[in-house]
Amino acid sequence: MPVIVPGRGLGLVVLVIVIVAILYYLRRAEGGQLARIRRLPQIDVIDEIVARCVEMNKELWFLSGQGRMTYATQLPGILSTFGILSYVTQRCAEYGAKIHHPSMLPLAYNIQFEIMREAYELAGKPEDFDPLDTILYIPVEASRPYVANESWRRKPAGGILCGFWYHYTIIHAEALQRAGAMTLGGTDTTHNIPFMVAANNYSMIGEEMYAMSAYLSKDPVLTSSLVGQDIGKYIVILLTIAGMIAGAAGVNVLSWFKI
Amino acid sequence: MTEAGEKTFFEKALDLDHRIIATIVFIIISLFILVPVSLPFPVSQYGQNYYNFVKSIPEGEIIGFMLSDTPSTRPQLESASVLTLVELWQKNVKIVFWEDEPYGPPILKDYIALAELKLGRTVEYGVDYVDLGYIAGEETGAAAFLKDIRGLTGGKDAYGNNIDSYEWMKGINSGSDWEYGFFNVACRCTEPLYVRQWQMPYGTKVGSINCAMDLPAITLYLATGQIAGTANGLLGSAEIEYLTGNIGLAFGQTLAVSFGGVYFTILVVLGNIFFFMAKAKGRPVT
Amino acid sequence: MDPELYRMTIPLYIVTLLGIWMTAEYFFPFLNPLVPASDAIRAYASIAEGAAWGVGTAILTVAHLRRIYRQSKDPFWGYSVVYCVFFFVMFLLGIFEGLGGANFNWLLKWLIQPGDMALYSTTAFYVTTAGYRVFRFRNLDAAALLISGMFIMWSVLPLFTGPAPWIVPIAGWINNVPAVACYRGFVIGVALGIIGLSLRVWLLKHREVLA
Repeated sequence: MPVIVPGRGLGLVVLVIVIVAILYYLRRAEGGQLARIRRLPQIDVIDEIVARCVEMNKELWFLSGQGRMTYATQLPGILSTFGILSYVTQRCAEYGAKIHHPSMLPLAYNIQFEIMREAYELAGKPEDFDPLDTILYIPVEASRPYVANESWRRKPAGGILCGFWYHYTIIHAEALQRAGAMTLGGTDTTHNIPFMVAANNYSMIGEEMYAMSAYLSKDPVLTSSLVGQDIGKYIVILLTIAGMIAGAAGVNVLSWFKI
Repeated sequence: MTEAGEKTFFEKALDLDHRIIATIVFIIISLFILVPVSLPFPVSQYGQNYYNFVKSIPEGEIIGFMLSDTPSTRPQLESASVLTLVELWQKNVKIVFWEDEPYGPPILKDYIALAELKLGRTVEYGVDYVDLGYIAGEETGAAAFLKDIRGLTGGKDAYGNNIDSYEWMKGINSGSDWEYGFFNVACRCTEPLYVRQWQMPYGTKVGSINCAMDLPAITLYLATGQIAGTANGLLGSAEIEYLTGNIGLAFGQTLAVSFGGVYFTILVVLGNIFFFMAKAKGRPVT
Repeated sequence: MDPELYRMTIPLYIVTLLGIWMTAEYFFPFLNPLVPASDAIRAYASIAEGAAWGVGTAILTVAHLRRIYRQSKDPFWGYSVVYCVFFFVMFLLGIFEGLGGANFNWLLKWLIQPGDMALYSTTAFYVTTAGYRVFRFRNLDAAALLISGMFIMWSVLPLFTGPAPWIVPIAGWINNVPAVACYRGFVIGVALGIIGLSLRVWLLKHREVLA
């Protein structure tokens, strides 16, 4: 019996290198040597949107996308929204903006409920949390007319769309735009990135959404772990260049990936 | 805005009520569905490649077909799915179906009934096809299914029959037992899943029936040949109708959508003209 | 027992253990004896999801019943009546007839499916209005979006590709060269982001996953 499943050796090597790199930078940060990372502009956008909602005395809508937490490809996108939701809810609670979260995720609903309730408690305003309006479960198929109609009726001043999205992205983003909201959108699904970027005022592309959840924890140690991910990108760049040169020289590059 | 605070014509045009835009789209598309117009219809390379792939499947072959269409995408993918089945059954290909969405099974039954109408004969369950039912779990479910079909299904099909009671199913237990395969993932963006879990580990040549929105993301796999062909959305269905000589609703819809595209182009051009006119008047516009 | 222990700490340790197990099982065949247990865990996860659907639906129904009860406070409480009627009809048909029942399938085929199709078709209207709003020559980025978007759209419409077949190779180049390159980079970045996110969860540094 082989030690490693055939064809997966190179993947294991890259995975181990990336994990070691992330752990290394985490350790360094815990020891006081924080990594220098460019600030994600989307952090300021969230504060701007909350401020807009407070000024205009209107709601902020948080849409955490669709998908199922039991699907491995959809889970990371959904998980990354929890950190963003926690931060946004705390901000709204602190500054007195009303947040409305029609959740389309039945399994995540309970977690999101607790996140929002605790955010209000941390802000010292538990009475502002309405268990049946602050967060509401809407089945995915019903979410389209719900968002289109309710956003038109309630006219939110801000919207944050993040998570795993199907093709309804454009409906939700455009409905919020029509209602006059300033929106920040992000997803990790390749198919819907164009809609998110085009329809929203600001966007988070792919891994920026995962990085946001680290950023918003305001933990510099955690943020340093993002540098470890970049090591993986350097490996990919080097492999790409090496593959290009080898391929141009007539080497059968594909055989490298059957280790 | 003018000095009196009113918006200029161009600023009003840039803020055109979305209901006017939507109404005109509705009128145009409805009109050309009700009153079809004959137009030249060049077939794209995607459609031709998909058709060639379907034609290349040998007679009597046993293939796998993950058919999980949804009501939302049925109007655009029904023709491609049904005509693919017709082409395959005309060559006495035996098909092993399964679905990965709850809507899949009832829609599969409808598609088989429609294929029978076009074929002019009924297809026999257990002889022409077998349905292994809904396989939950998306990627993990698909991986487990394609690794060991009997292990996951308990050796039973969607109706509780023993799979081994069908003679031709005896040699089929994993993705590697099919040289050819298809998947209809509607618009759930799960084509990469079937490349990862079916094409790559088992080397099956796969064709995709997907909605048009998924095309940019699967171009990666078309470029590398991992997906042999794609019936891409409404246009793909129309092309398959045209190439198989079964002109139907998808063909008519495509022509209607073409006129919608003309309207969209005019809107975009006008939008840019108004934008630059408003800007030329020194007004702040976005 | 400290509530924090069973609400957060133990569940997070379970997440870490299962994550490492599932990852190791993918790479090392000597862990194959654990595969049946892994499959069972995945099956239980699907069952838990099914239960969550039920909880979510119950919460939604309670919200609508509350609206009906407080009808004077909400001018649109009538829609909640519509929801409740449809919900209870489908629920009772599903319970008494089962999923293969004639009435259940009739409602599914002639009410729910056409409704789903109609809702999906509204995407066209939203895309049109979004395109009118977004496709403007504001700056270089917007110009690139506009030009590439229009070529891709024209390339799938026979009305354009018939008289102007040169659109097809241009759209093909856009689809096969810059788009593919960008998507590859995007997919790689997302994959690395998933590794980073998963590791933060395993190391108990991303506690928001459990509130």
